[in-house]
Amino acid sequence: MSLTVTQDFNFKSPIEKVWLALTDANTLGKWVMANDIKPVVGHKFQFRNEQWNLIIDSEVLEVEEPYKLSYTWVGGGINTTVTWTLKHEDGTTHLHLEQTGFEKEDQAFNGAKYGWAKMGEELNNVLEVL
Amino acid sequence: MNEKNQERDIYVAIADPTRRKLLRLLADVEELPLNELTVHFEMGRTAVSKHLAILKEAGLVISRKVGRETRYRLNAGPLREIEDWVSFYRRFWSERISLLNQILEEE
Repeated sequence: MSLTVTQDFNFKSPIEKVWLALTDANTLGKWVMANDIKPVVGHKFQFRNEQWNLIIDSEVLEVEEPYKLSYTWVGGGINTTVTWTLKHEDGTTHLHLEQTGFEKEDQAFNGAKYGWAKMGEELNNVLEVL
Repeated sequence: MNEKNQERDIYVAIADPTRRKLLRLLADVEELPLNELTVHFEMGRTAVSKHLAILKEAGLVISRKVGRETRYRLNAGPLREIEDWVSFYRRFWSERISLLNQILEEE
């Protein structure tokens, strides 16, 4: 059975700005991790974090500026798809996230394969500095 | 030891491929002595024993002396909280998004 992570977020920023944060490699790198994304269907790219020894292989599947972006998220023991959906309403940009394809059998042991526990601590450090 | 330190120890403990293999070997049996674990690796018993010590410190393995040998068994309890990718990514994205929120507000 395949499982899904879904989350919803709201921002006061215009939809174009949130879209840029999702599709501009430099901006995306500031809050997810270093990458070479381009919002072009078929573009193959990677998310990399050398400190965690983590590489995520991705391929852009769908681009509907500024409403929808979808790419594969493969690495660290999982083979999933990440889809972002954006909607602007009454001065708020709604961002919906779906990460699909988590397989039950991948769960055991893979969770810590790349020392991801450190992520939480490092992020806190980043937030404190900001 | 507070909860956070213990959690980190578990992640460190299973970040290593040798230790993950040890856990898998122990997952299949009631318990195994050091000698029988060592045959599965290209390293000596001292090295394997060091890895087992780290697993023991993280509470993932329990050992007992039987005569001259030490037998090891898996204690899978502490693994439960980190074996779930789904909850991991739920947290991952929440934390990432709060960072994004700060970036957007800064500009």
